[in-house]
This record gives sequence, C-alpha cells and structure tokens, in this order.
Amino acid sequence: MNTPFKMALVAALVCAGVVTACGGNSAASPITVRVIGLNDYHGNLESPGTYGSNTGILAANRPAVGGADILASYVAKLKKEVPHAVVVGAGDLIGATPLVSSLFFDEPSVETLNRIGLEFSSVGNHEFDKGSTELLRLQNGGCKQTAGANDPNSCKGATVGTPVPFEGAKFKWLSANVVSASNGKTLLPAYGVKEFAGVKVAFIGMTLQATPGIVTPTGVAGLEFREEAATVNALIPELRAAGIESIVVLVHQGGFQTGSLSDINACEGNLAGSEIASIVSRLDDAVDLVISGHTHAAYNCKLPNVTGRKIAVTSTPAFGRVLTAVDLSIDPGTRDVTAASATNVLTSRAADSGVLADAAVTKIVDGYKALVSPIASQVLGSISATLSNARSDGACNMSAGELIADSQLNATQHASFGGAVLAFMNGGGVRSPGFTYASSAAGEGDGNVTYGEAFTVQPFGNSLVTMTLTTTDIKDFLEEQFAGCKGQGAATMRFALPSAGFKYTWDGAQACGARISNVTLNNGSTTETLVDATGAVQNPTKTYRVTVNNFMADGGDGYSTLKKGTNRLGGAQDIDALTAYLAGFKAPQPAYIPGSNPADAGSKRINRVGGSSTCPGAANTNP
Amino acid sequence: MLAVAILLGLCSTVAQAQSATSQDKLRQILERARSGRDVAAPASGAANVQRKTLDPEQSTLRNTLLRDAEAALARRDVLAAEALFDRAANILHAADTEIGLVRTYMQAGAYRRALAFGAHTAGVHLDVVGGSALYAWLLQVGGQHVLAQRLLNDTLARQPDNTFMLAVAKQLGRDTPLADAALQVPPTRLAPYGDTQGLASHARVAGSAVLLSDGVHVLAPLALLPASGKVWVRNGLGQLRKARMHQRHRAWGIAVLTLERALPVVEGLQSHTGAVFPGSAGYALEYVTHPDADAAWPLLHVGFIGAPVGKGTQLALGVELKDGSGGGPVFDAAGRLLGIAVASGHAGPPRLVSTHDLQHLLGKPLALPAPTGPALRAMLDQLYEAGLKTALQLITAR
Repeated sequence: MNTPFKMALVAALVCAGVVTACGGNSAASPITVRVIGLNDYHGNLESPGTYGSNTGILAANRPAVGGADILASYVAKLKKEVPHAVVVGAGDLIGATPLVSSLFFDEPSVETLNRIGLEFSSVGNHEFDKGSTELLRLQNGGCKQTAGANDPNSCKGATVGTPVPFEGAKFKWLSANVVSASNGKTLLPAYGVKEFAGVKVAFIGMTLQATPGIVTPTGVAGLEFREEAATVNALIPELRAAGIESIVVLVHQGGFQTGSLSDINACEGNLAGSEIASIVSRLDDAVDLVISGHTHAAYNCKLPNVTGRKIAVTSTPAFGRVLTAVDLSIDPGTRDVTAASATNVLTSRAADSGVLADAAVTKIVDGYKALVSPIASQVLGSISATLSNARSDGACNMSAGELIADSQLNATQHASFGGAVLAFMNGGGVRSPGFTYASSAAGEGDGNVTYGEAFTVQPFGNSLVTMTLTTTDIKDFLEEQFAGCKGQGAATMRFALPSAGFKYTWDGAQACGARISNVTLNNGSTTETLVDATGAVQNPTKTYRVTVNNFMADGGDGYSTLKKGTNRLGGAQDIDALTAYLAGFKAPQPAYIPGSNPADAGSKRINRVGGSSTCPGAANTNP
Repeated sequence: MLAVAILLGLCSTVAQAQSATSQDKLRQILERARSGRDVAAPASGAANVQRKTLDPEQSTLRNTLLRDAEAALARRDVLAAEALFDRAANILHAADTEIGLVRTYMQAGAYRRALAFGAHTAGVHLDVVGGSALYAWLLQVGGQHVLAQRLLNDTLARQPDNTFMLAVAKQLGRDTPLADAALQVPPTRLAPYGDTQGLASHARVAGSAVLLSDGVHVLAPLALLPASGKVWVRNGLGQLRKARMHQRHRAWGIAVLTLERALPVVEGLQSHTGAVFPGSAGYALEYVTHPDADAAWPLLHVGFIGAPVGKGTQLALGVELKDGSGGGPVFDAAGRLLGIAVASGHAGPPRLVSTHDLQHLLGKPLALPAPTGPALRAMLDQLYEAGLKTALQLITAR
C-alpha cells in the first residue's frame, strides 16, 4: 500500500468511524439512490395476466401486467429517471415456475433476470426446491448434469440466443442466515455492497427461518436456517467497520394487510401480528429499508424497529406484476439514509403505459416457449443403421442425403403436389450428424428418429420446388457439380444426392462438361437412359418433373442450370416431406434400410470411374 | 365442509330444465361429500403454517369469500369469481384459493394464464395434492402428456396412498380421461362448470364440432347427428347453445349447424387456406364422448398430417385421435385453422377435411384468411387456448 493511499484511507476511516461531524459539516447535497425491488417472481417469464392496484378496480378494467420483457423495460425506465439505482430481489425468484422455465431447470428465469438487470437477491424457500447444489449451479453457471451427461433440457442457449454453457446468475444471491451445519459458513454471501458516488450501501439477504419446514428435506440437507433479526443485527458491526451506514435488508418473509382493498401502496393494519412485523421490530436501528416477500401480498409500510423508529417495509404481489421503487436520500457526509420514499408500481403492458416490452428479452422467452412443444420428441419412424451426412465413398454417395432426396420425391410424386419423377438434394443442406441409430438422451430408443433429430438434419425451413427440366438440363446440372465447371466455384465440389432409381457415373479425369455418363432413371418397372456410356444425351428435349429445394431452385450452391426450370410448383417444407416419408417406416412397419430401395436394384446411385476412395471436396476434381 | 356448502348452493341454482342425468350426478357428488367420502377434500387441506395463525374473524371472512367465489364460478360469472378469489388470496397464501383462481382462468378460457399459475400452485403447495392434480390435468389435456405423467409420478411418490391423486392418475392413464363425479367436487374440480339450461333428458356428448368465425355456424360430422334433430354444442368455457341443421354435405360427411345465439370466437383466428402437405405438423382437438352431458375441457393431440387418401385430394388426418368420434378442429403449427377431423369409420383412417376444401364447399371463409408467406409458429398453450372456444362438445339426444 503506498503512503498517499494509506493516508487517504486513514482519513476516510476517521471520518467514517469517529468524527460524525466530518460529514455533518459537509454541505454536500444528499444522494438519491433508487432501490428497485421485486419478490416472488417465480419465473413468470410471460405475463401472469391482469392485475389491479387494488381490489376495487373492476376485473374488466385491470391491465395485463408483468412478463420478463416488460419488467426489463420498467426497470430500465426507473433506472433512467435517477442518477443512482440498484435492482434487488427478495427471494422466490425461481422455483414453482411455469413450464417455460421449470422444464429448463429455471435457467430461463436466471437468464432473463440477468437481462432485467438484477444485482442482488435474497434466497427464498423456493430457491432450495432442487437443493443447494443446484442453487449454486444456477448462481455459478454450467450445464445441468443428468446421468453423467449434460441434460438435454439444459444449456439451450444456442437455440434461444444466450451463452453456452449456461451463464449462471450475474446477480448475487445472498443467504446471511443459511449456513452449513458442518462449518458454520454461509452457503452464499451474507450481503452485497454497491457504491454510489463514493457512498457504500449494503444489502443483506436472507430467507425465512422456517424454510426447512416448507421445502423438501433433501433440498436443505446439511444447512441451518438461523433467526432473521438476530442474523442482521450480528452483521451490523462488520458493516459499520467497513464504513457502511446505509443498510437494506432483503428478506423472504412477509405479512398481509387487513381490510378488503389490499391497495398495493397501502398498509392497512400495519401487518400486525405478522412474521415480518415481528422481525422488523427486533432490527437494529442501523437498518434503513426492508424489501420483503413470501406472502405474495403487496404493501407499502412504515413499521417500527427495535427503537420504535419507523422504517420502510415493502412487498409486491408476486409474479412480476408490481415493482417497488424506493428512493433513498443519503447524506454523503454521514453515509446514512435520511429518508426513504417507496412506491409500488404496476408493471402494466397496456399501450397507455408508454412502456414497450424489451424485444431482446421477448426473443429469449419465445425461444424457450418454442422448445416446450412436445412435437420435438415425437417419433417419426425408424432406421436400421446410422445414416451419416458424410460422404461414404469416393463416388460421393451419402446415405442421409439419399433418404432426404427420397422423401422429397415421395412428397411431390402425386400429381397435385408436382408429379415429380426424381429429386435432388444438395449435400451441404444435409446437416450434421445425419440420422443416428443410437438413441439420443431424450430416450426415444435405438433406431427411432424423432422430429427433433430430423429437424437438426433439415433445419433451414426450405420449401420444395418441382420444375420441368429437359434431359440436357439434367446433364448440365450434373456437370456443374464439379469445381470450376459451368459457373461452379473454382474450389467447390457440389455433389447433389439423387432420389432412388436415378443413377449416373462421373469421371474426374475428363474435361469440364464431359465427366457425366450412364445416366439412367428407373421408374419402378422400366429403366430409361438419359445419357449413354459415351456421355451423349439421348432425348435432349424430353422433359422431366424434378424436385429440389428452393435454395437449389434459385441457383444456390452454384446450380445455375436449375434456374432454367419451368412450370414451377412450390410445395411442402423439406421437414414436412421428411416427416411424411419416415411415417412409412414407423413401427410396426419395417425400419428404413439404406440402399434397399427396389428402384436402386442394389447398386449405388452415384458411380465413379477411376480415382481414389476419397470424395473430392475442393479444386482437385479427381483425387 | 366448504365443499358441501358450495354444492348445496349449487343445487339450489340448478335450472329445472337440467338433464336428469346431470342432476343425478350432482346429487351423488353431494352425497359423497356429506358422507365424508369426498375424495377431493384433501385437495383443500392446510396450505401452510400461516393458516394456523389466521385469527377467527379473518378465517371466517376467507371461508365466506371462497364459498361466494365458488358459487360465482358455478354461475360462470368469472369476473365476480376472480375478484372474490383475489380477496381471499390477500388474506392467506393458500392452495384452495389458488386452485380456485386457476379454475376461474380456465372458465374464462385463459388457458395460458391458468397453466402458468397452475404450475406455481403445484410447486408451492406440495402438501396439497389438488394443485398438482389440477396442473397435471391441464398439462395432459393440453398435449403435454410426458410432463403430466412426470408430475403425477412425483406427486404419488410423496403421497402414494392419496385416493384423490390415485383417481386422477387412473383417469390420466387412460387415452380418454374424463372427470367423473369424484373429480368434479370443488375445490379441485377438474372440469369447467357447464350451462345445462334447456338440455334434454339423457342428452349425451356424442363427439366434437368446430365453431366458425361468425360464432353462429358450426361444422359437425354428419354421422353423429341424430334423426331427432336435438343437438346442442358447448365450448370449453361451459357455454351451451342449441343448434339446428343448416346444410348437409353427405359426400364430405359434414353438416353445417346454426346456433340460436352466437358463441364467443377467437379474435383474429386465421384459417390455412392453401394446400395442406403430408408431414406438416397438425394439432387436433376432441372431446371425450360419454353417456351424459357433463361439461369438459377438450383434449389436444399433436402429430403430423397424413398421406393422401386414395387418389383424391383428401388427406389422412395423421394425428392420432384417442376418442375417435371426430368432428374437432385441426390447427397447423402457426395456429391457423386447418380443417375438421372426420372419422371414417370402417372405411379407413380419420380424414382431414381442409379449410381449403370447406371454403369451396360452403362458399365462404371459415375464419380470416391467413396472409401468404411464412407464419410465426404458435405455441402449444396458445393453440389449446384457441381450441377452448373453437372446439365444441357435440351434445345430442334421441
């Protein structure tokens, strides 16, 4: 520590701990710090419905409120109105949550609370629903482990637009009265501190002492829950020693107003006889504000502490329907709170509120909502072996691509859907890993292909286009698969996968435009030759109905010949075609066996003259 | 005892024109409650330790509010019920109040709200099986079978001998779960309150039907309509209307009915008017048929539209119906009305009669035509919520 800094520190400590007049003589203006609070959010990422500021508001006149996206906007608005703000919670932010959060181990709640801007929160009893180890994972990040592997419903950030692995809480959960029975240390920090214009404010967080009686015993095994007021009071000397005089308690315990109006900014009956009133009555006079919760009841109270001085005690009616904004006036000299003014604010989604939902948060919530659908786990059909999206031989066949091409032909063969006689699938559109035989973590069983797995292979949402091509067009299309040929990229090989019954041979040693031969089409009963063994097109102007996806149809992957296709008919999405085709291989029907289509007559669809067993992928057309 | 008081009140409000079967059932429920065999009673058990500390005056007020709220709900006065349940909730954070609120949201057709709050109730009040039972039921009818089963298993692991939960599990283990008399007792009544005014004796739920966007016309399977012409429809909110024959389309197996008064429709519901492709996602709703006319929530089934039937343009429904009587609406993945499911009996699998074909048949749109171009994917709960109004119980009498 250097000398000037040491001197400054000594001066600060003297000021802080000894000479109150040090600050008292200061003429500095009070600092206003806005404490924005919420409690019992319970992962309500979507609006929990309508709510009125009191029961006198007719149900029909109550606006829709809450939802993570609107909370984010209200918090931003409340912060923007003042120079200093902090966002805090009073517990039960997770646990007992709607499906959109609970199905994903409440990671969505944490991720959205991060983006709402939460900084500190006490734990509540529901933070312990899944045990302290899981709470620590949610605090620190990482994927949920199930049977030694990442659970399929954890770490979904790649889909919803959040970091992978799960980022954990950016805010600090606090648990001053939750200690390990074995070593007496708190499970999580007892308090957090934030500095505003040089003045530190402490936030002590805790849950109700009775937590073990209302949660699953295994969730709190090895933990002790200590008395609330005594825990706070015991921390006061430590905080003061650190120069902290402004102290806020975040406690997951509450009460109810009496009367029938239950206005969110009233305190009928002063919470008489409640647990929270009892706690506050025993709090050290150093505590300036109590943000409470647990009862899902709103109130905005001033309750007496141990000295009889009344301090602000607030709570909101759960689920993010209301936010609390408490403006603390802090004397920068004494560093203590001189006044506290609290308001409970309805988080209205109504247009006249002037507050618009945060689009980025909406996107995350919508992403998780889409994942809730049970459609992903539906078994479509079964396969007898893994169908990889890798090229299986030097001729560039690909089993996964063949299945997809077959499905697209199947979807467009019917006259009303295009009347196609063959289909081509671009290899690059068959995504990794193809169709795996082994069961996924979802447990659908070996060989079964779920909609989710199929979607992984066909994620682009391409639609099918059936078009008319001449024999010459088909030959040209096959020739332009080779790097540098007919407009194809100089270093890109684009072998498309044909549907069953279509075969051809290529020779990479030949010149551009002369590599394709032996093109035949078997329609189930007869085999027609489109290009003979010498490469001559047999009936150049004869037309065929050919199906490709819209990416290829528009010339994607360098298939410019396909842009010549006429009489185009748009059709199903590629995933629909695949789904419909696999339905023909769903138990009790036999599984799909690669290479077994009768139209293929037991031989490969793509054949090669010469070359190695390596499928060319770049400029070298004949490795 | 609260349940008994509520049922006594309910009985006094039952219209004289109610079907004899429904009256008998209500009487049986009442007797069960009186005799202490009210299996739903555990559902309203103590919610948490705070209940013990409620002073007598507050306790009396709370019970009064709950009783009045339930009575309002039975009258299908959802605004009054919600206000009263809300007041009770401001006295005590308890399962019975929250279960009442969840059912109120359902009675109002707000499935999404009910599902979200039901999740909370189930998660918070682990000592009260009613919350879990209701949430599991809502998940199951909304197509989330795996999650419903998981919740049932978790609840039964905690309370393996709970008779109410076992009764719920038994029903949800069936393809066609139905809230029998034991499961209709409040507070954990697993069905909406249904209007019975004007229903004939021995009216029965014969199948399902689809409400068109004008609110007064209904599509129904011709095969399910009786020669007597005595037909009613009821939506998932319990609202009942008498219906009469408007058009028969024998070739399609479809009838168009006209209602005496409009039923509420889904605002902005769109129809899929283009071609329907095999393999596309389909969401079909149906009601469980049964020999009386109790109100119920529809079942949602998820699947994929099937292949063309024969050489015609009609498609196999693809989505597996469990009851199988047909007549319910089918939605696409964007929540657009795709058509009506029609059972084919012995002639083959259930078919989809698409809105595309129906519009040609009827000469008018079934719902707002969807704009061309890609559509946003609808969420499952959103689809079910639309289904509560669009899918109708088809009630008939000889």
